[in-house]
Amino acid sequence: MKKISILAVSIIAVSTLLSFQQQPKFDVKASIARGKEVYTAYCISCHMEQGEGIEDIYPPLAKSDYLMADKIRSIKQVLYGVNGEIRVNGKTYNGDMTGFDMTDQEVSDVLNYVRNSFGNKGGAVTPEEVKASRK
Amino acid sequence: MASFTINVNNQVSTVTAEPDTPLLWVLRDELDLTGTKFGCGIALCGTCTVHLDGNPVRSCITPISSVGNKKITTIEGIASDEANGKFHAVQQAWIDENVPQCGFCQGGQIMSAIALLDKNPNPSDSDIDTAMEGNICRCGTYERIRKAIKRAAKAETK
Repeated sequence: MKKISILAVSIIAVSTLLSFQQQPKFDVKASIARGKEVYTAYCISCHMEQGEGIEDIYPPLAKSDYLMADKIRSIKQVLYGVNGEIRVNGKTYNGDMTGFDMTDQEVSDVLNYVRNSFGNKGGAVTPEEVKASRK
Repeated sequence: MASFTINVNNQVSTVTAEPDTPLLWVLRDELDLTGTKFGCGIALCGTCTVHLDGNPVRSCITPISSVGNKKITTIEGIASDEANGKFHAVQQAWIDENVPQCGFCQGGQIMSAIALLDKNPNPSDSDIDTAMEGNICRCGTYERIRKAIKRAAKAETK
């Protein structure tokens, strides 16, 4: 009986310790590198290679005040699209962007890429944040 | 409805449309320029590509109200004298390499290829892949597209 109790206490102690172990740290650099491929596949044809967009038609991502203002909004826009008027770097755009059928990691990767390229510098977007933003 | 005066292939036309009407529908239904095709309708396949001031744009999601004074060029407007067999170098390369299979996407492919060569007259394979990534071909003519772009690049630099 004593042995069983010791075993039970040991199991509880080990599992408690394991649960306090930190999750592996999110590797932003690797995410940005993967994000470039996602960008090339899905975004480049409108937002262009350097994120410059096309004046009056497709808003720029490069040095974009709108993009960098709200990362949760950006997550939702990649997932569900954008329509209606938006104001980017002082100019009004009124086009439609479709939402994309991407995994949480793909959304996180592409946003980490655009938020850290073309003159932008922003904090990491994690797959967990993408998951939490899904409807 | 509103009235819009647009320059398509160096011809000025006035059309009446809702401001959010996609440029594609104006080209096809109002101006009878049916070389530009409808594919996905959400800017993912590249079939509807035209040029605005030389930049490749997806006409299916480009509202007519956003075009303004920009010059629109469609697949019908790129040959110097098509009636007499004088095609654009990219069109000629497409013919020489027998690129199309079903052909539906090829107008968009050619418009994207021309925009690429205008910016980068001597593109590498990687440059071509990046520039053409947004143009999908369900017949899988990608290898011939790459060859034709290289052939056109050579022809244009001669």
